[in-house]
Amino acid sequence: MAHEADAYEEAPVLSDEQINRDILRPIMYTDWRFFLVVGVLGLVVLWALFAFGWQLYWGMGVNGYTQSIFWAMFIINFVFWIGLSHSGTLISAILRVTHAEWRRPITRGAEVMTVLTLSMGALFPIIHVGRNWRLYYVIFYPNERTIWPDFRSPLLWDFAAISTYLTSSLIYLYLPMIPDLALLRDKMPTRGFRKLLYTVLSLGWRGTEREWRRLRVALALMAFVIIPIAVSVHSIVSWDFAMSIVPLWHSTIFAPYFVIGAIYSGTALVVTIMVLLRWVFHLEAYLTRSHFDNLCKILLAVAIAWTYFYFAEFLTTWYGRIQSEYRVVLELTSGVYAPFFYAMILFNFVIPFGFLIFPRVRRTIPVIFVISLLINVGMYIERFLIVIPGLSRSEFPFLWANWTPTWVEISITVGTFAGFTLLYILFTKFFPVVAIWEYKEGQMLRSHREIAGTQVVTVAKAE
Amino acid sequence: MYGSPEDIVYLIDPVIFALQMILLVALLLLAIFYPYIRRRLARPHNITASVIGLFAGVDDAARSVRRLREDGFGEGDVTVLSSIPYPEGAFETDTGRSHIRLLALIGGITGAILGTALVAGTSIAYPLPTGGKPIVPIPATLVITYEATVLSVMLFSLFRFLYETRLPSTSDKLYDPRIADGMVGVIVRCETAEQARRAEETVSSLGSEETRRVEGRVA
Repeated sequence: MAHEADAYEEAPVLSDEQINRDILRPIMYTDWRFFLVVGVLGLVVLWALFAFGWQLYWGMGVNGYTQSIFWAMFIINFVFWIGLSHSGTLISAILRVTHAEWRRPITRGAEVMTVLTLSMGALFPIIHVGRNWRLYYVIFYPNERTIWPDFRSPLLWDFAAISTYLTSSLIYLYLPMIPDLALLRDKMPTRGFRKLLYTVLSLGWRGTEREWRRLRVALALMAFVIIPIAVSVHSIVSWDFAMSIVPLWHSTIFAPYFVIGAIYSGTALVVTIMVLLRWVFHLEAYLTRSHFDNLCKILLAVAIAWTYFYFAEFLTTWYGRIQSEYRVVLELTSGVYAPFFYAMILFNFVIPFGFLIFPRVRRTIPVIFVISLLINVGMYIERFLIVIPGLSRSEFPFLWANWTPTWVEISITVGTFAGFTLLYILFTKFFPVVAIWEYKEGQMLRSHREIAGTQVVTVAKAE
Repeated sequence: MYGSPEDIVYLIDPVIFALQMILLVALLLLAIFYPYIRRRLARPHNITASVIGLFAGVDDAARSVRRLREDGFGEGDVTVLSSIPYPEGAFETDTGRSHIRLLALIGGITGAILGTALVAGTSIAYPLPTGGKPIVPIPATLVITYEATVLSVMLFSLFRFLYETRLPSTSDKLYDPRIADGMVGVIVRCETAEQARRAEETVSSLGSEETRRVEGRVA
């Protein structure tokens, strides 16, 4: 495939030692900037914990809820974070299933993104329900209170889907990391906590032919299985809304629309993270412009699909003119939510589509970094426009209200962004962010050939 | 027709439930560490020595493995260690079939049954009439069944992978950290001193950068 060869043409041939050195550098050496960033992010997280403590002490009234707007920022965050989690493992799995060679430097960073964003997302239902000291009520186990979860509730489907996806993503992250953990075990110069950590986590991996063969089989199988899991998660999140009768929520297209939105925001975050990893860890030889070109092509295709789904959903409501729903549509297009609505269209369609169709833009990393950030701003607005307008203009006009977030909601939200960044940074400090063995395998499989007097790069197929 | 919730609560005492959970965790731990326990309990083979050769290039290592096989060493007697996976058939020290896919299928079926049983069984035990829906509605049950199925597939695949690779394993196995730098290790398990001498000769003559002999039974 042409684009795969492009990615290799830009990537220099590196020795095993060089690859080890480049990718293990962030793990082996630490400078003051690391501590500074961790310190600042840690403080933000502490502030968010204080805000959560404040909410625990004073109750849910400290948030900007009204009688009708009882799902607000925490649910927006929940949908947003779960959506972000979508693409990491999904992209990795799809590229693995299709044997796309350019996946090699991307998969690990994307997979860990899924695990961490999913963890952040899973916090929000807990924060949202309030009275957290009674959280154990929702765990199903035989008890003397004679209560048991209602499996007909989409909220319980959420719990099942998210815990399944989190467990599966952890397995899918951990399994291909075992050989790299063994490498770290061997490379750690001194005995100590880290050596012990890698020794335990690498499970005694030696790299026998048996181990490699089984790893290949297991990964191929899991890649297939994890794709439908990812799709199910955001479908089920959409059903939290679609199973209700709130205007604009009760929609049959919500599941695929949510899935596409999730892939969109997740892919944009993969691009953002890859740009940052390339810049911070000097991975220019690994994450080439061609990798970003390929990711942006995915982004472009998903942007078009997202727009199509949004339009299909919007058109049906607009045409139907059902009063309760049309009222919300009017609020979106010409009411109090209009600035957000048009900003969403700008960030999610006009800018990505207008810029990413040009190959030169797709290879200009600072520009695509900004576009990827704007897409996620647009997607956050989209989550806001899904959750709030329908509740604020419900069937009963006497319940109409507008919602303003309080410092508690904002602090907790900012805290989870800081928490995600902090955990990602800590991951890069302890674990290789590029799959070293996969990258080396890719190097082994590539070679130069001469065709009609021109040197071309060819990639052999291992399986 | 259904037992009252109170009946069920007193039938499933929390203490009994806790014991069941402990048993379940113990079974899971047993499944994970089974290969290790089995090896510990197994009667020792007749291995008297092992030889490890370290090769800078994979071609020399592959040649060495082929020569060892020609010399009469069995598939299980020769092991190759490497830091990256080489294409299938490069060494042929492991031609056995993997049953990970089969176990994944069994896991899927088990998960589907358990998921359905969890939803249907507990909904009958704790009946909660809501919105005119049946106590055990098929569409809602399918969602949980689906999640339980795919989760079981992942877990069964993981456990089978660990079982087939004999992981986690202890550190008393032959290994050399230089394999992490790209060297390829060839390990030969020998039953007699004569075999060990021949293995050392073969490995050294085919370009091994370092050949070591370890007396006793080492995996």
